[in-house]
Amino acid sequence: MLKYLVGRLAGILPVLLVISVFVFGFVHLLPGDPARLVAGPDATQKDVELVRQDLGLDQPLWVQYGRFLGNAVQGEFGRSMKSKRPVSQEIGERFLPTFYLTVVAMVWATLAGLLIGVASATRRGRWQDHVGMVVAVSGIAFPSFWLGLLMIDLFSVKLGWLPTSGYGTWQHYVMPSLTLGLGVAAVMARFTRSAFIEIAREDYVRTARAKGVPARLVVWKHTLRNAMIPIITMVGLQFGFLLGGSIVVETVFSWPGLGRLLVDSVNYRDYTVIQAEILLFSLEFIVINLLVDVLYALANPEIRYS
Amino acid sequence: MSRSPAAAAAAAIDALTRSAGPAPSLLSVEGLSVAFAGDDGPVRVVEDLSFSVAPGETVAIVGESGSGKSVTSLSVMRLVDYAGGRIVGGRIRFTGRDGRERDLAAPSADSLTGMRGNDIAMVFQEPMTSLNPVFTIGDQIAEAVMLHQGLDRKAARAEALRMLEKVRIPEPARLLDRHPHQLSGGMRQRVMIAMALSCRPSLLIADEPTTALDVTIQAQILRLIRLLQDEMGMGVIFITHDMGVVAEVADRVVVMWRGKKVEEGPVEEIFRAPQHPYTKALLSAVPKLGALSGQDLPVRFPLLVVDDAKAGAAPPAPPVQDTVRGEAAPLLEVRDLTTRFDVRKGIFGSLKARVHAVEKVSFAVRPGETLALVGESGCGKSTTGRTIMGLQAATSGAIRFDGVDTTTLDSNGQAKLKEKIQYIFQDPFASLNPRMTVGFSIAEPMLVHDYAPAAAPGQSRRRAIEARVAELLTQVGLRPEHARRYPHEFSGGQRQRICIARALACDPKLIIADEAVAALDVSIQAQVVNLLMDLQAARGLSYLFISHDMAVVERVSHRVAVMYLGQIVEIGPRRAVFENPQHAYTRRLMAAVPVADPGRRTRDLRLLTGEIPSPIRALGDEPAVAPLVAVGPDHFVARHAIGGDF
Amino acid sequence: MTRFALPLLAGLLAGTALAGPAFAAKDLVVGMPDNITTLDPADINDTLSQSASRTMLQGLFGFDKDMKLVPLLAESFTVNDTATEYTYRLRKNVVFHDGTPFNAQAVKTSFDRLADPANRLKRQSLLAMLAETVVVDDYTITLKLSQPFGALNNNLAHPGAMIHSPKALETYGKDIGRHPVGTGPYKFVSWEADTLKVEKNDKYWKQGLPKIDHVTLKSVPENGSRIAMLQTNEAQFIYPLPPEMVKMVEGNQALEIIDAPSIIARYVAMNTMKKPFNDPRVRQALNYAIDKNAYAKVVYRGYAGPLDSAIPSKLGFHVTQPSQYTYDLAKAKALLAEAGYPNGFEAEMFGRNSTNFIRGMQFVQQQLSQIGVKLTVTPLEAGVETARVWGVEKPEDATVQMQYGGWSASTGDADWGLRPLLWGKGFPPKFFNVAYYKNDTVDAAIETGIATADTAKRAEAYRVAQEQIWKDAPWIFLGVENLLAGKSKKLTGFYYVADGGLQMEEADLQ
Repeated sequence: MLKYLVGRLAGILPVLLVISVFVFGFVHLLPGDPARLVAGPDATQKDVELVRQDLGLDQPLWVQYGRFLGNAVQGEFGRSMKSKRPVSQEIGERFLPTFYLTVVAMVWATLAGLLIGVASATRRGRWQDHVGMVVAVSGIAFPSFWLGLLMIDLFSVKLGWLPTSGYGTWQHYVMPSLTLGLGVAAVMARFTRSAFIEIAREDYVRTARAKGVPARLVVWKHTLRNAMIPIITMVGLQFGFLLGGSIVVETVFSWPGLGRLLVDSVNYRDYTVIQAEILLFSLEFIVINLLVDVLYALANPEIRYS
Repeated sequence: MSRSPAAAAAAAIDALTRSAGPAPSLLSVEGLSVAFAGDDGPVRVVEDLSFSVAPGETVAIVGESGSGKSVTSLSVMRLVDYAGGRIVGGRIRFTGRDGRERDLAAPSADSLTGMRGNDIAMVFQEPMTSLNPVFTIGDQIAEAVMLHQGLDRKAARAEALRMLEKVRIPEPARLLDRHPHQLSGGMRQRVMIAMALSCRPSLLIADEPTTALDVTIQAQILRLIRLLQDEMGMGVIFITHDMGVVAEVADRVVVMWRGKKVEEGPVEEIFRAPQHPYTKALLSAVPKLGALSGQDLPVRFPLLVVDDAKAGAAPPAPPVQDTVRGEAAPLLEVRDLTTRFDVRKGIFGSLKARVHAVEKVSFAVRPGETLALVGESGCGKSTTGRTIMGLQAATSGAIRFDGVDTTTLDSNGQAKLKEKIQYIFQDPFASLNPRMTVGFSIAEPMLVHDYAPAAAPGQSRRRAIEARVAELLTQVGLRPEHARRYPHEFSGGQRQRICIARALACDPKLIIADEAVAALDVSIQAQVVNLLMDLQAARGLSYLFISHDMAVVERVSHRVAVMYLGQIVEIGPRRAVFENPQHAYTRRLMAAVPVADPGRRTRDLRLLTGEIPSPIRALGDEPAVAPLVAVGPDHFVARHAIGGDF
Repeated sequence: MTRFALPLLAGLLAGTALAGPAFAAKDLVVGMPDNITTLDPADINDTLSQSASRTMLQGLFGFDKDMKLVPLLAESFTVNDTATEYTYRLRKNVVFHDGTPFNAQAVKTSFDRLADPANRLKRQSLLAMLAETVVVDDYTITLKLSQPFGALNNNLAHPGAMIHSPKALETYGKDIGRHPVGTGPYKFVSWEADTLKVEKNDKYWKQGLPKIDHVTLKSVPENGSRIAMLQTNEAQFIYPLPPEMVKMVEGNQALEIIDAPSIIARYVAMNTMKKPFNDPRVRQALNYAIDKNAYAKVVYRGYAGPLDSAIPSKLGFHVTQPSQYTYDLAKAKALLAEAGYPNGFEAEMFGRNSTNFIRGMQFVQQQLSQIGVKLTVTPLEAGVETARVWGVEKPEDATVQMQYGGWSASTGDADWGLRPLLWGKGFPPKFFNVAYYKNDTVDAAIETGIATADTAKRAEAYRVAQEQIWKDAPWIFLGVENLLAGKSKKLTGFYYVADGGLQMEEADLQ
C-alpha cells in the first residue's frame, strides 16, 4: 500500500507538467488583451504598452511559459496582473473558505443523500421512494441561485435568524452549505438509490437473506457496504467539483472563495491567477482521486490484494 | 390401544397427507401457486404444486428454464417475495427442529428469518457471485452461526473453521481471512455449503449447485453433499436440469414442466419407465456418456418432440455422421501453437509472471470433420480457438488454413480468413446487438466482408442479401419473417440459432463453436447439436467444437483432443479416446461425468479433492511439454516424465 | 429517513436565532458589487477601488457631491497664460496616518512617482505632461508642464493623483496597494479577500469629522443578496441598485433610494468612415428613429435621463443642444431616402454581453427596424470586445459598424468626455474614437480647450465642439444613466457622486 502511494504521488508531477502546458496554452489563447483590460477602459495606447511590458506580455510565449514553469516549480506563481499581489497570497486567502464550505456541504449532503437513497431503494415503488426521488429531482433541478436568494429572503430578511452573507461564524455556513450541498445530496440520493437497487439484486444479498440475516442488517451491512464502493467514487468526484468553488453559491452569499476569484480573474484576463488556480484545481483533483483510490481499495478487497 | 374418535380421525388425515412420501414428511408442499407481475397482470409461474420431503431424503426437482423449479425453491425459503413473486395459493408445511409444524406460505411468515439459514438452508447456482465480496469467508460463515446459535465472535469463528474442515477445504485456517475473489468456483461452492450447513439445518435446498462448475469439481461437490447429508440426516431438495446429476443424487424425482408437476416417482422408476411424454422427451435429449459405445462416427440425438404434453412419434433412427473427407488435405493445421499472456504488476507494469494459456499445441482438422477440444476451465481450449480466429496473437507456432500460413497474411488476407472461419460464442445473449434487428445481425458479416451472395438475374445486391438472410433463417429452423425482430423477442435456443445463421452467412469452411450449447437447456441443446450436424452434412463444414461436456462431445465429434494446462494430453478418434482413454487425466475427466442412469450411480463415497492447477507460472519457469506418443491408429497420448503427474 | 430531515433542519435553524446582527452605533457597512483591486489609486482604473481609496487618501483637489471641483490639500493656485506652469499653496497642519507631516516634498514624491513611466502605473497619463516638480518651500509647489494643459486641476482632482505618505511609499514599495497611508478621514485596518475595513482618523484635519468609527466595504456581487443586507441592516448603503429591484427597497420605511443623474453616457458609435454611416444624414436619421423616452423606460425602467449633448450634463462645460433629435419616424425615413437608402440597410452592432447591454441593443434593433434598418446584434464578452476594437492598427481595417457602448469621464471635465472619444487623432488603438470621427472644427476646439486654463476660453471651445458633434451625429445619443443606490434613512452625509464614486467623509449614523 505504501509503495503504491509513493508511486502514485510520484506520478502526479508529470501529470501536472502536462496540465501546465495546457493551462498556459488555453489561457493565452483566450481572446482579449489582458494588458488592455488591466490598463482600464480609458487608458491610452501608451498606458497599455507600459502595462504590457510590466506584465512581461511583450515577450515570446515560450519565454513566458519558461518563466511561469520556473516560478511554479518553486511554488511561486508570480504576481496577479490585476492586484499585483503574489498569486500565492491571492489564492491562499481564498482557499480555506472554499475548502471549509465544501467540507461542510459534502458531509451533510453525503449523509442526507445516503439516507434518502437507501430509504428510497428499500421502499422502492412505495410513497417513500416517490417522495425521496421527487425531492432528489427537484434538488438537481433547483437553481441554487434561486434557492439561495429564497433562503436569504426567508431566514435573514423575514425571520432574522441568519446573516445574509459573508464568512466568519458558523451561522454564515448554514445557508451556503445547504445551497451548495443540495445538488450533491440529490445526486447522491439518486446514485445511492440506483447503486443500492443494483446491489440488492446481487446473489450474495439473496445469500444473506437465505442465511437468515435480519432485514436491517441485509440493508446496512451486506448491501450498503458493497454499494459504498461506487458511492465513494461519486463522493470524490463531487468533492473535486465543489473544491473548485461554486461560482453561484459564492456569489449569492458573498463567500470569499476560489470560484469568485476565478470568475474575476477570467473576466480580467489575470493570466497568472487563472493559471495558478487551474493548476491548483488539477492538483486537488489528482489528490482526491488518489484518496478515492485508497478508500476504494480499502472498501473493495478485490482491489486491495491485486 | 384406545384412542378417541377425534384423535383417530386426525391420525387418519395425518396418514393421508403423509402418504405422498415414504416417511413422515419434513416438508410438505400442498397446492402451491406462485405468481409474478407480468405486463398483462399476474403470471402464474408455479401452479398447484405438491410434493414432500422426508428427513434424510433427497428429492430432485427437474425441469428446464422456465419450468418453475427455482421459483419453487425460493418459495420454500420465502425469498421469492424479494424476487418480485407472490405466493397466491397452497401451503408449505414444515416441521422445524422444535417439532412444531408451520405453514411457510402463510402471509405472516415474515418471522421466517429465524428459520432461514437455521432450519432450512440453501445453496445457490452461482458460487462466483453468491458470496459477499467485501467480507471475509470467516466472517460470512460466522455471521450465520452467531445469528442462529448465539455464539460470540470467537466461538463462531471456531465453528466456521470446523465447518470449513468439514467441507474438506485445504488449509481452512488461512481461508478464514480470505475474501471470496481469492477462491476458485469450486472452493466458493464449498464455502457456500459450509455456510449453509453451519447451523445443521434439517432441510437443505440446493439450486443447481454444480451447474457452473467443471465436471471434476462437480463430482467433488455432489459427493460432499451426499456425505454430509448422511452425516446430518437432513432432507435435501435438489434443483437441477441435469439428468446425470439427478441419477447421481436423487431418491425421488419431481418433474416440472411449465409450472406444473407432470410426474413424480422414485428415481429408478423415472429413468426406467417414464410415464409422461415430457419426461420421455427430456430423457431422450439427455446426452449420456457412453451412448455411442461401439460406434465410430457421431450420431444425432434421437429427439422426441414434446408439444402440449403430447409426445411426437418415435423418431426414425438418426443417421450417422460420415462427413469426413479423409483423403483431402487438412483444412486447418495447427503446429506448435503457443499463446502466453504477461502478468504485469506495480506502477511501472513490470512483468511478474506469465499465463501459459496454450503450450505447443498441434492438431489438424480435415474437411467435414468435427474435432472436439475438451478440458476444464483454464485449460486453454478457448484461447486456442481465439488464437486461430486471430482474436488473440500467438506467441509462436504456425497456423495453416486452407494451405495458407495465416500468420503471414496481410490485413486483407486476415479479413478473408475471418470470412471463412466463423466463431460461435457460448452466450447468445451477449453476442447479438440488442439494438439491431436479427436480420441485420445476420447480414452484417456479408456487408463487412463485402460478400456477394448468389443473386438471381436482375436482383439487386440488397435483395440478394435479404434473400440470403431468409434462406439462412430457414436453414437454422427459424422463419424468414423473424429477420425483422429484435434479439430480446427470442429464447436462448433461438438466439443461438440466429448466431449460427450469422456464422453461416459468408459460407465459411470452419466454424469454431466455443461452448456453443453449454448455456442451453438439454432439449434445446440436443436440437442445436443436431442442427450443427445437419449443416455439416449439407455443406461439408468442419467444426472445432470447444466444450467441457464429455457427453455432448461424444455425440458430435469425429476426433477429440483433451487439453490440460495448455497442452494436448491426448488426441485421437472419438471412439478410441472415449472407450480406451490412455491419459490419466482423460480417465479422470470421464469418471467425473455423472451418468444419467441411477443404476450406475457411483457408490464410492470417498471424497475427491483437488483443484484445477493454474497455468500461471513465474518468469523463466517454462512448462515441460511432453511429447505425444502413438498408442493406436491416429491416437496419441502425452507421456509425462513422471507417470500420472497432471 | 426523509421524515427526520425537516425537524433536523428546523432545529439547526432555531439554534441560529440568536445570531441577529448587532452593530455598535457608529459602524457603517457598505455593500459594493465588485472586489477592490488595489488601494494604490495611482494604479487603479475602477471607480469602486477609487471610492475605497478615497476613504483614506486625498489629493490637492477633489470633487464635492455635485462634481464641483473643490480644493482639498491645496489652498490656492496660480497658473500662467499658456497653462504650462501651475503653482499651488498647500494646506498646513495636515498629517499622514503614519505621523509623517504633509508638505510639498510629499506631494513631489507622489507626483514624480506617478509621472515616471518606469513605474508603470495605470494612471500615469494623468501627469504624463508633467516636466518638473519644484518644491518652492514646505507649503508651495510648482508643476512645470511639457505642453499646455488647461485641465490640470481636474486631473489632480482625479483619485489617481492622490497623495501617499512618502514614508509608506518607501517602506512598502510595490505593496503600497495593500498598505495605503494617506491624509483622509479614515485609516486602513485590514483588507481580506472581499472586505476592506477602515477606522476613524482621530487627527483628521477637518474639524469634527469623521463621525463614523468604523467603515466596512464589502463586495457582494449578487444584487439580491446586497439588497437583503440592506433590508436586514447588515449594510447601511448598497450600490448599485438594479432598476428592476427598486421596488424591493421602496416598500421599506427604514430605507430610501438614491436616484441621481450620473456622468455615464450611453450611445451607439457609428463608423463614420464606412458606408452607410459615412453620410451624416444616415446618422441623423438613426437618431430620429429612436424614442429616447422609451429607451429610458425599457432599458433602465425610467432611471435614465436624456443625453442632450455629446457629454452628460454633469460634466464641466456641458451645453444643452437647442435642437434635439426628437423621435420622428417620418423625418428619419425621409433622411434615409435622401441619403439613398429608402428601404434601409443591414448592419451589425456589437457590445458587451451583460443583460443590460443586450437589452439596450435589442431595443435599438427593434427601433431601427421601423425604418428598415436591420441590425444583427452581437453580444461580446469583455475580452473579446476589447480585442475586436483594439486589435485594429489602421482605421481602414476596422470591422466596426456600430458599437453599443458608454463612457464615464472620470475627471468630470469636458476634455476627458470628448478628447478620447471624438478627437480626429484618437482613433483606436491610440484612444477610443470607435466612430472614427474626424472634424477639423471639433479637433481645433478640443485642442484649444486643453491648451488653456482660462475658464471662459475653455467654455467657448467646448461649446463649439459640442455643437458641431451634435450636428454631425457620429453617435446615436441614447441617454444618461441614473445612479441608483439604496440607503438606510439613518445614514446621512454619505454621497453617491455623479462619477459613480462614494464620498463618506461627512457620513453619520443617527
